[in-house]
This record gives sequence, structure tokens and C-alpha cells, in this order.
Amino acid sequence: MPALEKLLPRVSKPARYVGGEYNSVRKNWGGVEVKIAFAFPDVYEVGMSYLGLQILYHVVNSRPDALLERVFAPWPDMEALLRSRGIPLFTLESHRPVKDFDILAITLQYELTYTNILNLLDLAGIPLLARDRGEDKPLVVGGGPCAFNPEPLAPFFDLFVLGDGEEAVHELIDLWREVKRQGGRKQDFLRELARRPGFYVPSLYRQEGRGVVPLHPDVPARVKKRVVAELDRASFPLRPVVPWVEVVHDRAMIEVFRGCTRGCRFCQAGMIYRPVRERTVPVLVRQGEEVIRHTGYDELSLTSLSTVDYTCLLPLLDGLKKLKLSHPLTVSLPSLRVDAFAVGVAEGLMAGRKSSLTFAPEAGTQRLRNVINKKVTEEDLLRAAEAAFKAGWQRLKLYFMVGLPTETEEDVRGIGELVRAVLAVGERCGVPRGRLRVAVSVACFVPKAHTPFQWEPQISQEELQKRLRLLQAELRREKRVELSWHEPRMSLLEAVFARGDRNLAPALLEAWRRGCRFDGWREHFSFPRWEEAFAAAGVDPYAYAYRRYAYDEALPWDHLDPGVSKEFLVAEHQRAYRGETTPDCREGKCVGCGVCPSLGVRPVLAEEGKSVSLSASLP
Amino acid sequence: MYRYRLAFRKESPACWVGHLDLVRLFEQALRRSALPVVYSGGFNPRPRLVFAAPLPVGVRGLRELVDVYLSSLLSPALIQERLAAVLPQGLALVGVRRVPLEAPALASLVAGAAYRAEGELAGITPREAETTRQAILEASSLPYQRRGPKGAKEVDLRPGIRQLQVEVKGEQVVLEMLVRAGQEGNVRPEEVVALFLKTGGFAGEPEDFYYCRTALFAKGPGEKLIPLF
Ligand code: SF4
Repeated sequence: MPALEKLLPRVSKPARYVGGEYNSVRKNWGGVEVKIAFAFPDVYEVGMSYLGLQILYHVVNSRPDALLERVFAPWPDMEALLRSRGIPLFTLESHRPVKDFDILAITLQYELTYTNILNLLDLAGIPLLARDRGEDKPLVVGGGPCAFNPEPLAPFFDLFVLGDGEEAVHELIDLWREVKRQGGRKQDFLRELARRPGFYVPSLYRQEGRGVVPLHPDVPARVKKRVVAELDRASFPLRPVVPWVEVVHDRAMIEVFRGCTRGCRFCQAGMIYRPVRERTVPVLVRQGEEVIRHTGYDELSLTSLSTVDYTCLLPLLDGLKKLKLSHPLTVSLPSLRVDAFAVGVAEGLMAGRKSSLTFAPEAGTQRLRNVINKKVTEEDLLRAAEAAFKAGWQRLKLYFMVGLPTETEEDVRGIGELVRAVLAVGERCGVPRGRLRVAVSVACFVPKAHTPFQWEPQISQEELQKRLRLLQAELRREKRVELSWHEPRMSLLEAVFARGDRNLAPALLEAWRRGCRFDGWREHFSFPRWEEAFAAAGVDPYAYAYRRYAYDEALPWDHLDPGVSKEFLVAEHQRAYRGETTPDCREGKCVGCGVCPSLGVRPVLAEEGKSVSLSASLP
Repeated sequence: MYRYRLAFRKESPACWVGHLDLVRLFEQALRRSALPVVYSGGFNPRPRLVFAAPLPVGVRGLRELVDVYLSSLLSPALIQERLAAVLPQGLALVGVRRVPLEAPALASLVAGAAYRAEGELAGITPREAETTRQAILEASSLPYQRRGPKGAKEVDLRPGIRQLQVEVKGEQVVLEMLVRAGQEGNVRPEEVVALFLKTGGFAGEPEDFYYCRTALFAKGPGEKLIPLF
């Protein structure tokens, strides 16, 4: 029996580790020059739901000179076996040790996966610190949203890629080949790459105060992100890997557009993925058809940050409906805009049974929604609810946040009032007694880099608990409400790392040494262990989470440039305090966020003749 | 509507998938095949599939069975060809046969299963193996702590074991067994191996064996078992 087969009967869900799924690609190891292992630092079922993985898998494996194989964080039962038997972490495709690859690419989706990253490196037998890794060890590269503030991870990585990966990965592979053919070393490769947009080499910079500055004159002071100008021309996986087991988002996906300019002031995705770039209807319909044919899924999800905003949504749905398939197909949207139009669309998509519909008003009062630039009124929500109940839904799910800047008790009570108003609408629409349900899901505000709220402190745990209790009391008598919230201490940890600098790296190391893993999983998260780790590293976590950062201080992510200007973020922050909203540039007028002039791109809308007029100057 | 019985192999890596996910894999493959599959009604139409008996995770199957329903009459060869092209690695068709629509449900037919278990046991002799085999077959009852979702429960494996053969070549041990399966209860092959290890006092773990279901059986006349496909 091969070594792997001896482990599999002893772990839960062994299919996580075997590879060989339909559409997976196994290349001849000796036949390619550049070998990349791609790690998703969470379990298979989470990682296989991520479209970005499928895109890079396809982009790299389409090259004859390169291969990309997958690896996920092993569950603790598998970790224990690997350690006790001395088996190094291996990839799914070839079952080769990760340390045999040229490059280990790790996606950074969420701060609470950071200990899993250290664990992956350790299980792979790769020294954790970049400076301890010789020429024979893989180059460790990070990408994804957290690469826009990767400082707490800086000592562990050789390189971070900022922004869209489709083109950057080709450049990286080409240069790697070139340098290796000329007998160059990793350092030569990194020094050359650092001069190009999208590539941040942390070892060529040092922390000064809280900011980060280059060590050499030929290294840029700020690294601009990469952006794919036209999505229609970008490569898209038409034969994505079909997971062995049911995964978190178990459906086919097409990416309708990238970027979102609604401008919610807490939202990092809305800032770092700008501008909006839509695909056109014929391209999307063809991609949808192919993905369905090649996977056998019966559900197609139209993904983006806000799909109802797609300028050609109805023609797209129509085109998909007309597809001649040999089996029934459901089209789904990942999230809904809060209005009656969106409900109408959702209704058109539902074949029959209506489970539940989700809206995200985010805050309980109009005042606070203006502060966060969530342009949704109570009327919008009640109309959307009415449309949903009339269409036959009996259960609605509402997303809110607590701890937002300027929030008062009145805003928290406002959530309760809004929920009761929704229930009243349900009663009025004749939803049968005993069937009417409103699920209220509450997240704690986490200030994020590159957003207008990047300077804001997170409120204290005591205060958070107080507000959550207040909300609980507000809704206590409502049996038809299902209230749930994120673990506040996880949000605290997220805030620490989301605005962290290099001084946090030792604390991360300590936490991992103390056994922290899967911190985003309630059953594994241990705050006491983290407290010990911070104490051992001599780091005060609250100085990161609870401190108000100043406009004029250098921030740990100022050297990384998503294109949105700091002036715009300051202006947005001030408008927030004045309760002023900012429109979406998708409606036609540029609001001067700076992305387009700075990166030489523009919004791409699918509707013919519709475009955004760029403002000549920045605010 | 036409009913077809597919016999298939489930080997590595597909054998590491549990039964519910296997159903999902078959549904996906049938959709990819574009065969005129009959879908269940309701809000979530799915291909109509009836499997003979779930296979435990990690156990190979050489002749597993599933019934599918098509809306047009196609030759078994064509069905086999179309489906073979879209099955994932580790799943392969070994035969397709048309069965009458009104034939009894596949799962209700299953009464027995043959398994092979292979492993290595240091120092085992053919004689020890044979004595152990006889001890098992001659026992009047074989109590076993079966672990289930609700904790361990004592069961008697003896009535469920119909035949047992053991072959030893060097350290290589092969157990061939015919056990009860289906609605009247199941004996799992690793349970028989655990019993064999315990009875013979051999040092080894059932997890170190490689398991394979070689055939499924229906009840024939008398107490006889006849192969299902
Ligand atoms: S620069 Fe103007 S048009 Fe471009 S994304 Fe920003 S606001 Fe929109």
C-alpha cells in the first residue's frame, strides 16, 4: 500500500487529500520547467469553493512550460498523522512533497488563516522565515485581498502579488524561467521583479515607525496593484475541477464582473478591486454553457460583489434561459441588493420552493447607513420585504454590523425596530403564523486597510458585548427572530492583523507554537492561547485594534497602492462624519477615487453606449 | 421510460468518497453525458438513481450496481460509451443491462456481499491462519463492539458470516468472505478482520488492510445466494 493509502482510513473525510477529481490536471513532472504548488490555508471544502483558485489553476496549467498543483490545510487528525509518521505535506495532483516545487503560492483571504499558513510551511518542511530559506527551498508567494496589508506576514514571505493575478502570474513565471536559465539566484529574480508593478518584495523594505520604506534606490517607494483592463479577454476556467465531495459553494460559477463602486465605507473589497469591469452578455452566456456542460452541475452562480448591479442582467438571464441543455438548470445570485427589483429577479430565478432570501442593510438607522454610505432606505427594505413575502418567501435573512463608527445605542435599537417592521410587513402580507421567520446575522465592525474607515478604532470587547446584549434584549420577545452573531473575539483578532505591522510577526509565531490553528473555526479558536502568545511576544494587540490612527501618520500599508488615493479616503472619512453619501460612479459620473487615472484604466460596462465620464481632476 | 442496470468499479481515488457524494458524482456524470435521463419531479429535479448498497468509505468495489432511468430506448453499448467518457477517475463501467421497469427495487434485492481483505502480518503461518479461521467459523457467537453514531453497541457477527477463507503467502494475508448484507443487516469487512486479528492474537490493525467488495448477491431458492449481476 502506498504511504498515502495508509493514512486515509485513519482520517475524517479522506477525499480531501486524494486529488484526481474530474477536470483536475496532472502534468508530467519532468516535462515542465516551472512547478507551482498553490495552497489555500483552510480545508478542501472551503478552498474548492474559491473561484480565484480555479482561475489560477487554469491559467498556469494552460501553459506548456508550467504546472500548478493544489494543497489545502490538513485537518488536525491528518496533521497529527503527518507529524507522527514524518510525512511531509504533499500536493493533491502528484502527491509530491510541497518542498519539491519551485514556488509555493498561498492565497491570503482572511486574517484568521495566518496560523494555518505557518503550519503549512512547517508541515512542508520549509523554514518559516524567508531569510532562513536557501536556494533549494521554494519561493513563498502571497496574493489575494490580505496582500494589501501583509506586514504581519512579511518575514515569512518572499513576495506578495497585488491585485488581479491572471496576467501577473505569467510575468512571474516568464521571469523565473529566464533567471533560472541564466543561472541566477532567487535574490536576482526578486530584485528584478520588485521594479515591476504588482510585485512587493518585503525583504527589500524595512519598517520605519509604522510605515514601510524601501532599502534601495531602485526599489519603488510604492507598489501599484495589477489590474486586468478587460475581463472579456481574460482567461476563464471553462473546465473547473469538480470537487470529490460537496463543498461550501457547490455549484458552477461565472464571474459577471469584477470590482464594485457602490462605495460602502467599511468594505475593503469595494476599494481594492476597482474599477468595475463587466463581461458582455454573449461571452457570459457562452462561458455559462460550457462550464455547465463540462462539470454537470445543475446550478450556475453569477458571481461578483453585487450581481444585481450588472447593467445587462435581464438580457443575461434571458440568454441563459434559452440555452439548450439536456437537464434542468437553476441560476443563482450570491447576494441580493435591497430593493424590489432584486426580489423580482430572484423570483424569476426560483424554480419553485423558496427557502430564504438575504439582504444586507448593515445598519439600523438612516443616519448610520448614511455614515457608511449604504444607500438603502427603510422604505427600500420594507418594499423588498413586501415583494419577497408576496412572492411566497416566508423567511428572510438580514445582515447587520455593530460597532460601526459613530454608532450609538439608538442605532442598535434601530436594528430591532427595523426587524420588527419587517415582521409587520410579513404579517400584513399574510405569511402564515408560525412560518414567518427573520434571521438576523450580526457581524462586528473590523476597520480595514485602504478603506475610508482605516483610521477608525474597533470598539472594546466590553462595549461590543454591551451592544450585542442590548440587541438581544430588543429582540428577546420575538420568537420569530433567529439572532446570531460572529464571535467578537475573532473580530478583535481580525482587527489586530488587518491593521497590523511587522511587529506582529513574533506574536503570530508564538500563537502557532502554542497550537493555534483554524482560528476562524469556533471549535478551534482559543483566545486565551492568543493572549499568551501576545504576552510572550511582548506585543499589545489592543494598540492595533483600539487605537485611532492619525491622518498624518504613516500606515503599515501606505506603500501598497490599490489606486484609490489617500485624499479620496480622507474625504470619504470626513463625509462619513457629516453623514453625506457619495454616489456610485457606475451611474455615469466619476467621483474621483483615483483608480482610473492612477492605473490607466476605466470602468467597463457591458451595456453599449453606457460609460462613465472620468473627472479630470482628483478631489 | 426504460430502466438500465449499470455495474461499475469504484477504485482509488473515487473509493475515498462516501455514499452521498458518490450519488452526487453519478448525478453530475449523467448530466455531462447528455443521455436522456429521467429526472425526479419537484423543485429540485435530480436524475432518478437507485443504488444497490452503499459502500463504506475506502472500500473498493468491483461490481457495484445502480439503476438509472432513460426516456428513450438506447443500446447498452451506447450508454456505456457515453457514460465512460465522463466518469471521474476511479469509477468505471463494467456492464450495462436493461431490466424490466417493474422489477423489484435494487436495494431490496441485496442479501449478501463478498469481500476481499488484504494485508501484511509479520510472522503469521498458514497453520495459525487456518486455526483462526476455524475458530471463527466454529464459534456459536462472535460478540463485537460496533461503533456507531450513538456510541458502541454489542452485536453478534456470527450469523452474518457465511463463508471465510484465508490464504497466507509469506507475510501477505488474504481473507475472502461472504457476509450478510442488505435490509437484514450488514457485516462490515473490517469487523471480520478485527475479529480475525483478535482471535488469532495477531499484531495488526484493520486500518492497514486493503478492502474490496467483489460481488453483491440476492437471495436465491432456499438459503442460496446468487450474484446480482
Ligand atoms: S476613478 Fe472615477 S470612474 Fe474610476 S473607479 Fe474611481 S470613481 Fe469610478
